Amino acid sequence: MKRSVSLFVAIAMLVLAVASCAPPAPQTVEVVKEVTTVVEVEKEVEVEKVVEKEVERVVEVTAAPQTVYEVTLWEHSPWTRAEVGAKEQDFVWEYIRDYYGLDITIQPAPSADADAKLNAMIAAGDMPEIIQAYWGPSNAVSAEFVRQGVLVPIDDYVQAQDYLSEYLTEDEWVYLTYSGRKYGLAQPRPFSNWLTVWVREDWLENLGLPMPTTVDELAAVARAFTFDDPDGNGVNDTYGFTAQANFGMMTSFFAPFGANPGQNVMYIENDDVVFSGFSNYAKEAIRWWKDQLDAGVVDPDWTVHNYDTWREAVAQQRVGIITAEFQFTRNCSSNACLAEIIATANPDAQWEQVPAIEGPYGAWSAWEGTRVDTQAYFTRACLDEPGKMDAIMRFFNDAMNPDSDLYHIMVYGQPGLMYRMDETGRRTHRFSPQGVDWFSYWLVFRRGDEGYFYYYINEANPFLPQEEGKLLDRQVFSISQPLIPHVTPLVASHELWPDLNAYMQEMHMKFATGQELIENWDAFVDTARRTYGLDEVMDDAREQLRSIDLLP
Amino acid sequence: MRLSTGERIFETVNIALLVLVALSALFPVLYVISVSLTPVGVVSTTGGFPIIPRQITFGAYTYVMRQGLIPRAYVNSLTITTVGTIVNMILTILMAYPLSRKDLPARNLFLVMVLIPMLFSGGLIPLFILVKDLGLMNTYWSVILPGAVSSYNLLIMKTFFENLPDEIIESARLDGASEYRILWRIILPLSKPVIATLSLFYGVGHWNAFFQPMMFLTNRRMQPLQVILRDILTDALARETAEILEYEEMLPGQTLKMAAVMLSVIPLLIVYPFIQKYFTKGVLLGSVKG
Repeated sequence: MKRSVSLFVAIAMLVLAVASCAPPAPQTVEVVKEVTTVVEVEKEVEVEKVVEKEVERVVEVTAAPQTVYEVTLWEHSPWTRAEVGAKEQDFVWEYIRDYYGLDITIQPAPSADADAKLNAMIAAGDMPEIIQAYWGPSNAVSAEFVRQGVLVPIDDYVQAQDYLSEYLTEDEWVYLTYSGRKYGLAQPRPFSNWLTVWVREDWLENLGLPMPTTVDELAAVARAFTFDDPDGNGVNDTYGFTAQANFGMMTSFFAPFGANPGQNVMYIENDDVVFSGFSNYAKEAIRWWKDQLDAGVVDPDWTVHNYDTWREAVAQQRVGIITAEFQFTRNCSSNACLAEIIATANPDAQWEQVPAIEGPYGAWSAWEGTRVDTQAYFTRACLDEPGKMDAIMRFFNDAMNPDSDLYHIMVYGQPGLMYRMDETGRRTHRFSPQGVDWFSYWLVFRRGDEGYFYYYINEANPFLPQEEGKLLDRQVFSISQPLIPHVTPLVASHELWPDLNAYMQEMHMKFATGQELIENWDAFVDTARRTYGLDEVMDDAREQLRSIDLLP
Repeated sequence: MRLSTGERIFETVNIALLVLVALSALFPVLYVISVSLTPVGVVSTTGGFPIIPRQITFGAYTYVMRQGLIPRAYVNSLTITTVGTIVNMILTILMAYPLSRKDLPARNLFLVMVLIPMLFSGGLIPLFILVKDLGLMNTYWSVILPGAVSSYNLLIMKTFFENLPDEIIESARLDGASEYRILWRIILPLSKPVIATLSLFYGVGHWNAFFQPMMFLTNRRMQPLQVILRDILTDALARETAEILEYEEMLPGQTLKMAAVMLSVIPLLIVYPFIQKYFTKGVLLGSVKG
């Protein structure tokens, strides 16, 4: 009996092992039925005419290609939460296969260790044809891939395409160029600054103070907020400034000094590159912050603040001056919204954005960003079959073009199923019906200025609720602030940079907190040059900037 | 039995210390549970998470469980853990038993071959090439077979087998039992503690595995819980930082993290009490000789 039971258990385990280790079967036709049902429901919302018009538009394409190439697209997508079924169920995939001759498999990059996986794949000769990257332009990763010969230049292929050959300006191409050759494509995206200084306007009114315009006035307001009982509760329980400990969100405090402590920003001055992190600009910015600390006007917990605790400090009415993005006080339905927490704790609290503060370097609010977004690079796997790269470029030529049919279905999806339109032809609603999760992966091709997907950027956005009008004003305000131009994104990181950067960050924090005297700044720079290779890193940056004619 | 004053003092101090140790172990667990259940509004206005939540919300759990891939990820994790542990134990036992027999020819050579991969790893890229060339990419076997036998666990089991009395094996052999029969009917019934312990080691390893599934399982429908939870957290934290929530319910990263921790440890917490009695015994027995 015991033996029979053991035998049964063994067989059962074996069956389980074999059965469970087989790849899961693709989703069945039921999903398609589900989609059909959704379509039928959506068709009820008075869109038939528009749908017919859109379908006509979608089928206006050229003849089907003779050859179908298999292509893998490595996608650093933020939309990886969706469950993905078989690609054969995806209408966009089918369209691309039928009209561009590409059988594209999207391989979503993992949220962690993506570089390790990509490097292992490349080393194993299993490289994707297209690498869609969220890393910054001219990043060390892509520069290294160029050096290794993984990426191939695309100048000639770009020239052969009508849209691609003209869609970026020289200032934009420079982000995708290495040693004078183009290696990538990207969507143009005008940089929009979201960061400004914010101040408690109700506290200013209570104390009869004007809005600060210079760094000295800002310091004076911080002193008043700390020592003059701005909330009128009779208790000395407030501070002027608070911040997150990593300097990352303090940019608007430091931009007037021409520096960004904790980070290195490179810009050109007198025909040479300046590493702001090691310059006197950073020294003076840190000295100013240290002066505020010594004056006792900075929330003493700032050195340990992460995003959550920083929010707590703001919510608990302890501070009156911060730097934050335009939407930090936004209203929303959830109780997690900071605006609601502040309003609950003190309905009179009034945070207001401050125009760019004037400092020794001028009146600046932050640093400029890059002008392109979501780059795609092309590996040598594109060349392993004749005609494959041409087909890929034909695909990108239309995928990047907002007037093309391909862009239309990749970005907006199927009419009726994914959106509906009003009488004027404007899309008025969008859906995320079940069974079309694949679709979200193609959104990576949307343009950076596509108002349809950005709530605040575009006033014409149909999804912008009326009550968020104020928010739009706040964004317009932050976008209109003066930004310091710089060349940081154009310089690929040197191999010595990680250690040098770590040393710089450590020392900046020590100077800012008084663990190291600011008088020792020159010794810090000397150590960076002697021990951490600052000169070598700067020479490399100069060389790169010369190669794109930004330095003589 | 009447205790002397000295013994009573010792007992009291002993108990107090043990209670402190127990509390230090319990505190993080309570903290994790509390954070995962506390509404963010409470956290922000009171400045910190209480150990006993004053208000309770299951919002973070709902948010995580609502993600479409979670049920499938649980199935994947359970499959990998169950099948992986079975494969691990079968192969480890089948290798540890002969190595525990001193009369095995070239025993030292085999032991050196076991030790070398424990000390020197082949590296990621050779492993990737191996898995790819074996056609294991996007199969559960890609995360089960490369680590099918852990040298460390193998040595623990070998040591345990060596400590079993030779007389029992000799008498079975005199009664005409084959080596397989001796292993199945004599050795394994006597080795329940070490089997339970190593099963737990292997099982926890499979359950918590992140890197290998991330490397070898590209198909989202095959990825285990840890990979999916990581993606959900990364996504939620990015959205929180940018506050680009598109009018979805917003949840603080800390609460989500703790809910994810709870969701990933609950199955282990359920299993552990059933094998605890073997676990403590097994760890001790594997290390004591004589």
